[in-house]
Amino acid sequence: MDFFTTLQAVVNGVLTGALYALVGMGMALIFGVMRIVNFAHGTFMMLGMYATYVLFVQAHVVPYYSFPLVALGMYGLGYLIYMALLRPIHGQSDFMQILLTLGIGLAITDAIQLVFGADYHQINFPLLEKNLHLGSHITVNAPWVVSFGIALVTGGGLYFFVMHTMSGRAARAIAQNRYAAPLMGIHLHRVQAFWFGLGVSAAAVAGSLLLPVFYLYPGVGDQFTLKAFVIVVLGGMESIVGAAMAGVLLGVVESLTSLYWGNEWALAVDFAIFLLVLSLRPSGIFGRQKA
Amino acid sequence: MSETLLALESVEAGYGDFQALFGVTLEVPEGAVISLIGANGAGKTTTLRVISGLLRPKSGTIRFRGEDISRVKAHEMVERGISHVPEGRQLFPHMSVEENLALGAYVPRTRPRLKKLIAEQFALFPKLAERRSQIAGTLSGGEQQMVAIARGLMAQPSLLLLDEPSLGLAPKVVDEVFEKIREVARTGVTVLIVEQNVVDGLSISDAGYVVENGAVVLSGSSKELMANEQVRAAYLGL
Ligand SMILES: Nc1ncnc2c1ncn2[C@@H]1O[C@H](COP(=O)(O)OP(=O)(O)OP(=O)(O)O)[C@@H](O)[C@H]1O
Ligand SMILES: [Mg+2]
Repeated sequence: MDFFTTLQAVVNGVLTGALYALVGMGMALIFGVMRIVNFAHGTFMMLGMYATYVLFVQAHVVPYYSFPLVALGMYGLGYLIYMALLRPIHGQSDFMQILLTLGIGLAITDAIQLVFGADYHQINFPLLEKNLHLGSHITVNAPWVVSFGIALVTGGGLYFFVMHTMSGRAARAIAQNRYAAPLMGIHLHRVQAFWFGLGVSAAAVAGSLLLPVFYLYPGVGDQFTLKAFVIVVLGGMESIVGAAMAGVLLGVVESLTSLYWGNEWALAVDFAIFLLVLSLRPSGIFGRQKA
Repeated sequence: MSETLLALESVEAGYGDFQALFGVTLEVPEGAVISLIGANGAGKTTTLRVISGLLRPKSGTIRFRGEDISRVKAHEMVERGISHVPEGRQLFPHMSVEENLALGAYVPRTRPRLKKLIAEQFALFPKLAERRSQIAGTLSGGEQQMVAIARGLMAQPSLLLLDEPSLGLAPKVVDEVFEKIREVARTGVTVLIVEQNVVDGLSISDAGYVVENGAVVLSGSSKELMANEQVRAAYLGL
């Protein structure tokens, strides 16, 4: 295979990877601030896809305009789920939290299946037909370019918010020393609910952006929970920059794997990377090594 | 005589089934520096944790400016004017000095004055100004203690709780830290300080309480305590 075919695969991988990055950043945020591996993460992304789908079918709003509304709604849902379900088990074993987030994911997936059925859905609008040519060899589908741009802005905004606002500082304070945080006047549960909501809405935005180029069905989120988990482990568990880089890397590796070995190998490669990272460098590739 | 800022009355507290405090009663007058001394495990840290709301008392009352605060949560205590500088500094290790300080002004009362308050701390601790961008976890022990105190002062407390600020520091550094505490007290902040370093603790205090097995067994002015046979034998090794 020639150079340009490979380059094309890398470009495609980066475009997909940007969405993975957004999903992963959300999970890394949630893990960093509250030490919860959110096994419902892909489910929230799926919910974002359905919300976007309904807005498209019922109100004819394309995802690139409806995603802020979806993000807001999903933020609210995340906040409520934290306060109603996660807060009461605060301080209990990891096992409880795993069971609870798994349970939340299953319940939501079943509810969606009940309402929308198990059928596959797809949306269509004119932009999907458009292609952009970069030079004479590289072609990219327009919706991917738009989603890449939105993911970049959203991810960048999230990073800025975490690093340069008092709210982000409070989140990092909890992540770094949860004993000292209340002594600063930080209301642990309020801050955690806020960031859980934000993490959930990051996943939902990725869902909105993915809808135009993907199939929609109730179980679509499951593979993304796995990917998000791989990304977060690769990125060093709580580093959102690490997660962003790991997301793009995963996108590129999957794309190259599909090109050289075939589509069916992509998921196997996810697992392989995951096991490799866990055994070689438990704190992740991009994460800081902690004592 | 100045007014009482903080008063504990028969406070009992513990961890699960384990009782650590068996009726602690003490008073801190406004503007004073009061020290709490006692052996390892006596209940000094627990007393501070109960005051700052990290731990809820099982019984007894805690009054701050006359108001019962024994049910107030830790994060609300800061807004009311109580800053707790915990044992072992408890900084945010991966953040810069400046960010650690900024978090000290998290509450709505102080947040609008963030810049001015940071400048005030840098004036009090010039060493920290030089190291404003350094990651807190990489500072020396003495510098970390300064950050911990400065972070507590960022909330402009009327009561500052200090838990063993001399812990693990070389004697010269201890002197430096105590000099700073003296300076803070001179600005009118009331200080309740826990110290194992009894001579140093009492030397900057107006009065002290001796805690043993979760109860106050002795109290008096610093002079009286320094002269007390029991104190001299148990804590000064004389
Ligand atoms: N988190 C905890 N869980 C259970 N027991 C605790 C906890 N913290 C303290 N204790 C117990 O409570 C008692 C009082 O402890 P505290 O930390 O208040 O002592 P201290 O006077 O501050 O001692 P030191 O000088 O060593 O710091 C001790 O017996 C201690 O073992
Ligand atoms: Mg102690």
